[in-house]
Amino acid sequence: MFLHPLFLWAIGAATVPLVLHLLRKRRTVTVPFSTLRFLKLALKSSSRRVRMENLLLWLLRTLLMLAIALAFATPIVRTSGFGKFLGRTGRDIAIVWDVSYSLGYQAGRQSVWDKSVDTVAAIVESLGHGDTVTIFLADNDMTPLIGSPTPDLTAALAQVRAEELSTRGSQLLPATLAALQALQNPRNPEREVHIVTDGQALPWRDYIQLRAGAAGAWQPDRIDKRVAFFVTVLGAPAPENTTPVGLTLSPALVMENTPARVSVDIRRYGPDLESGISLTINDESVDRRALALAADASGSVSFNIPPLPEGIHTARVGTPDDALGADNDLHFLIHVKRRLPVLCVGAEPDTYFLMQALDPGGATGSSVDATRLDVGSVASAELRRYAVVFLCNALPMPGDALLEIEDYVRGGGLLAIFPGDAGRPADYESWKILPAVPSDIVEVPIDSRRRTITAVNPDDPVLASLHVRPGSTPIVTIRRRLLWDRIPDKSETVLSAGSRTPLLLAKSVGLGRVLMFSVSADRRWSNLPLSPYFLPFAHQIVRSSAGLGGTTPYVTVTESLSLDESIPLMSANARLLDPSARPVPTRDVRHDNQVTRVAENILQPGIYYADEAGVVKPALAANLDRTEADVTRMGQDDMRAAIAVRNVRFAEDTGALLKLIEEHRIGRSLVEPLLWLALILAVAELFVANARCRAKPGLSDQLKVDPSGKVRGHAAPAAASRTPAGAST
Amino acid sequence: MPDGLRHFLNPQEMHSLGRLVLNSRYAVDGNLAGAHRSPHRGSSSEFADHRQYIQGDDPKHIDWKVYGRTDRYFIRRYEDETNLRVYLVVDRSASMKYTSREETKYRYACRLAAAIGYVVIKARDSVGLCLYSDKIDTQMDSANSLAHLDNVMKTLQVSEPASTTETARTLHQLAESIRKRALVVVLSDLLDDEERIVRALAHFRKQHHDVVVFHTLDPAELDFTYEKNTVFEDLETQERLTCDPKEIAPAYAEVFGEFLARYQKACREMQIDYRIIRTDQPLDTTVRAYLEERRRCSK
Repeated sequence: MFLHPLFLWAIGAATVPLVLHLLRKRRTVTVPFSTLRFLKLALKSSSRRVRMENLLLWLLRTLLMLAIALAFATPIVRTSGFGKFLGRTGRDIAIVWDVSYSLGYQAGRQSVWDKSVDTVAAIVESLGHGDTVTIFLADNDMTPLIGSPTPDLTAALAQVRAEELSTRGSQLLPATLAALQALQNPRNPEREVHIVTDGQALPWRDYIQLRAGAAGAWQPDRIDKRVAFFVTVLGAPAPENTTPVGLTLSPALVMENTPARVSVDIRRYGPDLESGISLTINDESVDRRALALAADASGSVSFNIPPLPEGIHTARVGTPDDALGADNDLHFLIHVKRRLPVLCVGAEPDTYFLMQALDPGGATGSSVDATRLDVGSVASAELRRYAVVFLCNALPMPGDALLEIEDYVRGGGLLAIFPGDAGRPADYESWKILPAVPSDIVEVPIDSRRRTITAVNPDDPVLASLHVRPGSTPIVTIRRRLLWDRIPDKSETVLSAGSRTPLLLAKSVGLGRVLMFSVSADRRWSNLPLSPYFLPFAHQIVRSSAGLGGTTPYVTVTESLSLDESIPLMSANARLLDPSARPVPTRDVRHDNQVTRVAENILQPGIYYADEAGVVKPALAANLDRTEADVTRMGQDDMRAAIAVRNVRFAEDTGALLKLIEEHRIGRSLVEPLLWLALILAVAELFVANARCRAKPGLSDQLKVDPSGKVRGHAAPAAASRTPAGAST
Repeated sequence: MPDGLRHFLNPQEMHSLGRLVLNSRYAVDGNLAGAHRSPHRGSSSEFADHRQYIQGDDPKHIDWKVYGRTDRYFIRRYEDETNLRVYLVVDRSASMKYTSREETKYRYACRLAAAIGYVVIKARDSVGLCLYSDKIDTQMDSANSLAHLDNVMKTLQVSEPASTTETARTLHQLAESIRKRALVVVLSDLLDDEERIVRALAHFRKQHHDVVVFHTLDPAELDFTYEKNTVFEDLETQERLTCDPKEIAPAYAEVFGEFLARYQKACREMQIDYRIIRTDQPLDTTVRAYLEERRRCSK
């Protein structure tokens, strides 16, 4: 169709070159000439070339006139989504709106997020009466902003304008699937899916990964061909970002007034850069280090943590301000302990040596605060308060006590079991958390009682800082011990007495760990409690508990967080406050007869506090998901290949998107290509015509005849090779 | 209106041409003593060669210096010097009537013949005429008087270009009629079969004549500067041809260039002095330049 068909009359101008050519041929003058002999020869040799040139020129000029006339007529090519009536078909659109925190990237004066709000608003505003819209927010999961198609565009626009940037990562695929689902029952003839994103490569990989195989979540071949896809890529053309992605405290358990170190991993996206990394503890700057980061690579920097008093200290590692400021800080907590609470369960004689080893200098001289409880009191004890629970000849135990201890271990506690005469092998069978179930208790023959203690796994946290004095061999005399017929694969032998007799087994259970000795904690089974290694070994067991669950320095922002796992020492009466000091809603979740306290929407990065009767203490450090910090862009061709939908169009800004929509709905104007064609034809015509008219040197100039008539040049290159013409006049 | 020589040359031109000389490049036969070399040995002061003394020779010609070196008698021989006879061969075929300006090729050829003739007569040499078209129309023997030259010019003046061309046949006839060695000056557009004309020129060379060809051409014939769509009419045959000059100009330049090149090559091989004369060139400049160059070459 043509927008200005009146100009089609101008197509008649295409005949102008032909008419001019014919008119020119008719006007002739008669001139006498000395001889026609050479004219005939010239005419014969040049007629074919001249005809070709004339034809070419006529063709070029005719096409040029046609192109100009058609351009004036403004031809429009209708595209696939064109409806029955020009621009009046109803539309159902579903918007997939990337709200990941990477859209906070400052691209010029405006952030990408602001641009995306404008774009989504423009899409909604482009809808007319009867059109419907659904909007799905794409972060780590799909969140419906407008879950079902609504024709109420005013309300939709208000919701769009009120939406805030998320602090989470991005996954476009779930939202895209939801958008397609929403368009399954169309109300209008035209259906469109709009994806508004920042061009980050990360969320597009899901389309590729989940497309593999017939059972993949993304099946582009099954998408209705009538659904048009529009992708608006708003991000900066070459984004760059520097962010701390993780840290490691060393030692994991920081004791009061003891120096420590923190090693921070820094990730760079973009060209190489020298960056200044800072460490802040309790809102006071502690140290600042320069770090040279290679392009698109990681680096590491270490800071010394000065001696700190007992308590929970807030800290953060920061990178300099950049275009994406949300991920510049990595918050964490430093738990500094003065004395670690340890519980020894068992009768006094059974726990005597262990209690002495844990607290050799009395109640205040040791870093361990050891408490002894009888077996019957275990069920009522608050086990989560203790770093380690030692069981010394404590089996058999009541069932509720076993369940309490099992919960304690699964929640991140460390349980160390010393057998004793009270327990028989059958008493161990029902307890699934044990590293191995003993098959018997055996007496060790006299001649093989002396055993050398060997570390099977020297890297185990239990043995991490234990060093045997040079020249000495740790030897223990074992009179009785547990016998294990089979040690499961999930368990490991940490220490052995002799070459093949396990002395200490270990097994990870949930977030915690279970250690099981083959000898008792008193001197009836062995002289281990009397050996010089027992005391440091017992202390190391206590220290190793610090690396278990519940002591992680930070968590990643999430919509749901188990407080029992993340903040095990937090009282049930305490309120959790977010970094803005607003209460965080919590709820109890029952699962398998267990009640877990869960905090909702830990989405704000920073330090969360526990408010217990007016006493506010740091409880949790939450950080953004660093995966989203990868701002590396994906090209449009790669995006097109990733989404693998045929009917997809890409725009770089709102204006281009609206133009694409217009083209899709009304058609695409061919004026621009026609004008380009006209320009090319005009240049070609100019070139050909100019080549014809170009002044070639006359024969006089070629011959270079001097005043005396002498010929000094050459008439024509081919002159000598031609045979003489025989015609005479 | 003046006739004869003055019809073609004004006093100023005659004055400037009066001091020039046309030298023959080869020995020529004359009937008067003159400034040109003769094939005969004579009494000039120009030494030619030695010859063995035979009885009857004049002893005064014995070269005593050679006798002193060889004890043998040798006679010194000298070049004979004679006058130059120049034949002006003028084409008056219809094609010579062509002009793209004011002056036809025929008139320019006549003016050129007048200038050459005047130079020859002023050097006390003799000049003759052969006017031809498809046959020899007029042939005048050579003489060395201005009156004779004036008659020659009157003959040219009264003749008009007409008829077709038979240059080759005419030149053959002329070559047969000139017995003694002479300088033959051909003034023609040579629009005839090149091979035959070249053979005719070779005929002159065979008779030991010195030949000069003034290939007289209009500038439009060389450069073909026509613009509009044109009907060309052949001046000799009245045949007509319609064409676009701009379209065929490159091809015309090529074929006409080949035509000229063939003459140029043939004349070079026969040691004939071949000159292309454009009718838009000032006559006195052309003649002066030509004679100057010829004088330099003959030294």
